[in-house]
Amino acid sequence: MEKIKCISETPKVILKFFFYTELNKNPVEGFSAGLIDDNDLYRWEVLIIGPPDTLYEGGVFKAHLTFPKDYPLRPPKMKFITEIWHPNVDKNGDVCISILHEPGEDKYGYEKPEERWLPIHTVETIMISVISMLADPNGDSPANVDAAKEWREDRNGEFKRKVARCVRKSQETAFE
Amino acid sequence: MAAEEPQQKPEPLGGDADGNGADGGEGKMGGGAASGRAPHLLSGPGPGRPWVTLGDNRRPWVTPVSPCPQALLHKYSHIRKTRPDGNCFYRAFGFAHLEALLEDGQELQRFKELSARSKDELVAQGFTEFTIEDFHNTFMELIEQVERRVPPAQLLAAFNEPSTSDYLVVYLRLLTSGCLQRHRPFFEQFLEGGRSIKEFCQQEVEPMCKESDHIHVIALARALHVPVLVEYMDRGEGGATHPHVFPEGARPRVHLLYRPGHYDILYK
Repeated sequence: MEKIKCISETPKVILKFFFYTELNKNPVEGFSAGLIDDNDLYRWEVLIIGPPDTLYEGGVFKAHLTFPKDYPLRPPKMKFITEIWHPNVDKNGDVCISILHEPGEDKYGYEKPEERWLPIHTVETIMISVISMLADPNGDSPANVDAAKEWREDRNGEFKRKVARCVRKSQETAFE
Repeated sequence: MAAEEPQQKPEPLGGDADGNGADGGEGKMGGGAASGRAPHLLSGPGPGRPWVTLGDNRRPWVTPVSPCPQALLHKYSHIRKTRPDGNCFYRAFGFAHLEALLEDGQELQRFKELSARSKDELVAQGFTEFTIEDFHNTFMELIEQVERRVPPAQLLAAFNEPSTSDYLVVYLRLLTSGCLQRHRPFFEQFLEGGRSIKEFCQQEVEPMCKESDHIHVIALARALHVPVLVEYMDRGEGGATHPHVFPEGARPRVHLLYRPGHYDILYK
């Protein structure tokens, strides 16, 4: 009995590890994170700074990470709270990248050398993937079909204008 | 309720595939036509189903080709089936070896010492300690249960407890990945498609539910110094099996049956 209790506590232990050691000592450039509610280790708020030399530069995007109870066997879900126009973020803000897909899901086939969810991933490795997604959208598996189409066909026109609008709005609302 | 309880003993090899012994009794040796039944090997895991089962007539011996081949019956008496969820090699390997260690104190001490050291080796290779230590702890707790000589049924129950069982699978995957990366020049020659060993490990070894091939078996057997014999049953050859021992020439401690896409445990 003692054993089962110990294992069900494990994810919390890992989240604490993230919170106290990893994020505070080795912050990844371009994001910060914290709990939404100090009593709930499973829900995090992250602030992502739009990567330099990309259309998202200067943006301050707020997102929520929700961890499942059986984390780290299964990945967290990520949802942008700030409006963002991006091929891999659907119109509700849900982020769709391979690293956050459930194990066993093989939407893209294994020949794509994309990152998958691993039980040894951390908030830090997830954020590195998200920042790389902002810098380099994946047009092959769009979650926002309209954004993907504009990104493909009119990157420096309509796509750029919509992203710029989101960046501006994010700066106005970031510290509300 | 009894229907979902794993039974205590492996089922007789070649047990009654038609499920005539519906009350869970033992099937007749050598019986079992597979005709007309869905190949259970291909079905996904259902909620609440045991990971490792014994003598379960609801999921009988079924192969796409034939019932249990006679050649296998001469060598083995029982089979223990594992859930076909892509993690079956690790679960089968882990359970078969730990169960055998209940009877082998000398090997247990060697295995325990090697396992205890293995986390530091992974950390030295670049794995982040706090991301792997919970998995290692679960692995060591299972070994300690074996050291306390718990009844086999308790070990089986631990393997049917999802978090314990999956944590063990994660750790065995990490050991496999660690061994592949430690011996990169050797293993890289077997990779196709220009992938590096690191990419292969991140795509085919470390993620849960990814199936195992020769290369995974070789690496895990090597990482833990536990020789494995796999009886390969090929499709379309009348169910003939071909035994391979990893590493070659060693005396195997774990016996597995491989049917395309799936591993089960065999008993002499």
